[in-house]
Amino acid sequence: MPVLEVSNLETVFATGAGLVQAVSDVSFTLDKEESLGLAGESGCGKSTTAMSIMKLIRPPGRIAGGKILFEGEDLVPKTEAEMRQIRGKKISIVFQGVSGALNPVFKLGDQLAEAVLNHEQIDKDEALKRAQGILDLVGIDRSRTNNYPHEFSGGMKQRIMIATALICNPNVVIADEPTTALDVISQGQVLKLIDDLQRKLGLSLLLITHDLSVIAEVCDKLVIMYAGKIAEYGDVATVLKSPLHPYSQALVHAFPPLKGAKQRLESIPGSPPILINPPSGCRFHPRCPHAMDICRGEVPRLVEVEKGQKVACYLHPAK
Amino acid sequence: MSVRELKKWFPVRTGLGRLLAGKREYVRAVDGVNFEIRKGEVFGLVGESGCGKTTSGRLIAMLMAPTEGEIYFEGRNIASIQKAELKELRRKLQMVFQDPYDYLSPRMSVYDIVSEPLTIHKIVQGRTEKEELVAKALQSVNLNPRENMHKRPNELSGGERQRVAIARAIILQPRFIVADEPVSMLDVSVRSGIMNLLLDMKDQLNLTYLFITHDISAGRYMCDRMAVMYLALVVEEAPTEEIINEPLHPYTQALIAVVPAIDFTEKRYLAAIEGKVPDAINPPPGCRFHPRCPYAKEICHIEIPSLREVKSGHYVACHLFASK
Repeated sequence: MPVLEVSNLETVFATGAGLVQAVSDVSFTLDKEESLGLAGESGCGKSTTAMSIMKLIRPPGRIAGGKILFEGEDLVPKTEAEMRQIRGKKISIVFQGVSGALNPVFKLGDQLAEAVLNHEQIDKDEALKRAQGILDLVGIDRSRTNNYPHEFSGGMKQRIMIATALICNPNVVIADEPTTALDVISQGQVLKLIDDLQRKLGLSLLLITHDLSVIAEVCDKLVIMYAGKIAEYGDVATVLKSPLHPYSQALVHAFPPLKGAKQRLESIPGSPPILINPPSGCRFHPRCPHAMDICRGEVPRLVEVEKGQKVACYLHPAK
Repeated sequence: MSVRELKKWFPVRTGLGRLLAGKREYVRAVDGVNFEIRKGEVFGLVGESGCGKTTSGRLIAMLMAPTEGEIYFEGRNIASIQKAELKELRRKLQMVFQDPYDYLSPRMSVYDIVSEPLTIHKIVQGRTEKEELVAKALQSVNLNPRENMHKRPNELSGGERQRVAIARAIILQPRFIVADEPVSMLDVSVRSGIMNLLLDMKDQLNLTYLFITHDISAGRYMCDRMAVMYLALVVEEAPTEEIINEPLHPYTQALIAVVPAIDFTEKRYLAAIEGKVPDAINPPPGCRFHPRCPYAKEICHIEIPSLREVKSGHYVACHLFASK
């Protein structure tokens, strides 16, 4: 049984200009000990999907439909009090902005201990011991529990965020752009840490990023989102080696390679749509070089085209 | 364009007591950088944030004065130029910045933004003439002039904004453009369009670029030659393909090894170098990379390695390599 199963998720935001359909009919599953990458450009709904799973969507946003099954139980109807038992304890999240997520006036040890004390009936000394143990795991010296957040570098703060997310032994960890704010070298260090921990602790990981190469390094499966919908979904190796959706193809080819022959990059004309009035039919059709009549009129369904590869595109009928 | 022993130190604010004691501290943002950019090439400055690449770019674009050193542009030392001449120089030397959401005035229309340099430099007088030049500039960045001229930045997407910024930079027909991370704030699907535009314009308008980036694969796509900076100094400089395929300096090697790869030849275990970039106020003695370098020898702790040519056109500042 999958640990997390999202089906037909719809998340909308009511704005003065109209209803923004940020996430529209998104379905995927995350198995135990699997790592799934959620990729796409800014505004494609990947972070909103993560926030929906955590039930952290605040008005004017709301989950308008669909199910989020966590260990078989639907999270959508759960109350805030019930979610607090789950958040941080069973599903935890590592946010993108590392500087905003730590309280500057508390010592690191106290902040980590607080995360445990929220969920478990243990005394503070024990919680501090847990904090030290978790720091060992992410490669920060345990003596530094007495330091304040400003005494750490960006890469170390990101390690601390990972430690905070792991301290209650969660079943699912969501990492939202965990390395985007970091330098290449710190990025390498943090990715290696995430990859190691995922194997060592058998975590189920949902990694959200705009950078496909990060997913290529860390994940088993991959969801590519465009304008609030899933364009392609499958095994990382299959999808990245032979992407089928024209948007996935463009995204894969948008990164200049560091090795191999230097070729002129293909660029996609236009820019992602505004989701108040999304384009009719396939949301990618105004930018798609292969758009046909049917793409303008009807919304393509996500169907299995090859083994381990689902695509929502009329160019690729179901097998 | 050539740069000799370029330095920029920023004073650190300290207490009065330390000031009276004569202890002034400086952040050494750029600390003795040398390179040459040939006419018609794209020269890259690559490195992590805080390595001094942006400061170098701003010095070259004359947005700030260097603490020490010389900047030669078309044979003249522009570091010691008079204010009156500076305006003349700016016609030839333009800059494109990183964040197109930030630096285009939200109150100005696209026409105002692109035509402003013409007004400042009093190039043309009449509105019709100005409009013609603006339309031409917008066309050359692939924006429809009639549709876009009267829009304001908030009506444009990130890619379009960056195109407007490029139009503004080229309207004075400059010879040299400093492009500071021009694509890193943009969505991936529009990045390649802007990079292609920059390359095409370089050929059409006979431009020379200084391309500043932290993204070594974007650097590879754009640049003919590259210099890698670490903690205010250039550690390696070579033709782009040589730096990518045969990096010599241990820092360059690490920088290239940690770039995640999208190709599936093998699932590499991410290589990572340990530690973090030291403080630029009190940089380590000797080679600035030695505290993190796996090959550090005794001499690396003591003596600063100079940038030496080890192969034709390939310079490296490392004690592991003897000069040619």
